[in-house]
Amino acid sequence: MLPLLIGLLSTNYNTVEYPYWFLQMPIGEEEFFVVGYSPRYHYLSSSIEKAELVAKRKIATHLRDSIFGERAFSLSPLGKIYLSETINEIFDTTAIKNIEISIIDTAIFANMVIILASTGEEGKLPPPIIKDTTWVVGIPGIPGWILETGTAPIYEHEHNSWLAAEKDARVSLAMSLEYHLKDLKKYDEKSVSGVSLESVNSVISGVHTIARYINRREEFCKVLMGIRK
Amino acid sequence: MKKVLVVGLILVLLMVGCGTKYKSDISAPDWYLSPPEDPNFMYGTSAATSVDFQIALDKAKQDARLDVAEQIESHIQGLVKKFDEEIGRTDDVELLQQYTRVSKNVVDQTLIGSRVKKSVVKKEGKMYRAFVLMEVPLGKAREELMNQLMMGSNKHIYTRFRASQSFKELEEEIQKLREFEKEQMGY
Repeated sequence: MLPLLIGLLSTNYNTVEYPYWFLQMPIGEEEFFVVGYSPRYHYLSSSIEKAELVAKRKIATHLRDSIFGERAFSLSPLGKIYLSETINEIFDTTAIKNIEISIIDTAIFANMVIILASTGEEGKLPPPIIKDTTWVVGIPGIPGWILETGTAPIYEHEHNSWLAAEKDARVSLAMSLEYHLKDLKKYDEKSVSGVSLESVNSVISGVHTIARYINRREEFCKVLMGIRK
Repeated sequence: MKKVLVVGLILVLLMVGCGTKYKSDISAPDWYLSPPEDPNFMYGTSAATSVDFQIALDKAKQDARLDVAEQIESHIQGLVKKFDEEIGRTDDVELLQQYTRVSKNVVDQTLIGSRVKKSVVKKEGKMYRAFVLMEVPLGKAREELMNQLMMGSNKHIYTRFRASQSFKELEEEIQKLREFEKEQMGY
């Protein structure tokens, strides 16, 4: 009974070992490093092909990413209610065919394949700009960078979680640029009601993924992304 | 005597164990209860819940930005509405008069450089509770940030028609506010 109890109490929620370049991305001066994700298909070559395409799409968003749309909420006596949103991002997909990358490393998980790719020649990896996980609770002030985080729940297909968290961070960076808020609240003697509309309409470029974090106990993943000033 | 002590100790341990089993971690972070103060930044805090992780966070972020926007500028209108209502048959009409005090708060604000300074999401059973601390630079800090951010960035023009009555009312209220401001300015 005792060994069973000890076993249950010491369950390790981080059972997946991620490569260090995934958790703390190498940030180069000239070349751009990017991680491509894919589900784990029957043939590994198919997974790598898909991960390469994802990496190239991310390089296209790094060049220029237009983020626009609205998110609507209503206010009821029970609290704020999320209604819907139209936040989207547009980038030049025609640029993808001209993007050339070299794959530096590959990691294979039970349900995901990731690659580390670079726009430059394969060589020694530059060091990351952040080496711990303190950024998870508070965005650090790193000189020369504008930083934001993005989060997503852990989906069954983990690569979708990372893609969603990265999109969330890009939207947050765009909202940092310019954010518009319209809000109407009506109070009477008995209740409160209203509507609220937030909107974003910005173009961002030069966005780097700096660090990643996963918390399986709380079931979320988080990414730190930034624009070099 | 020893047996009684041992049994008593076991009972106490069991009670302590049962007590901690259902303890939920809903303590708010320190920065939520007492936000930082800095003359170069304005801060807004918020907490929101949802069964969806992302929605809890989005709601909290929006509320925190609203908190900041309301600190900058918000317009409160007090209205008294009188409703006359006739009920009953034509020969036995009862006139009900009801006065309702309504106040409206309208915010129309653009925030430059707002960002999530700190955020925490806690799981409470099936719900997620998100705490957010939003930071908006003021004065020189805002100017410096914008100079860095806007270089090379272009505005993308996008408009969308919103049909819902609630959002029409939102637009109408903002329009009224702008007209009132124009009247006050004398043009």
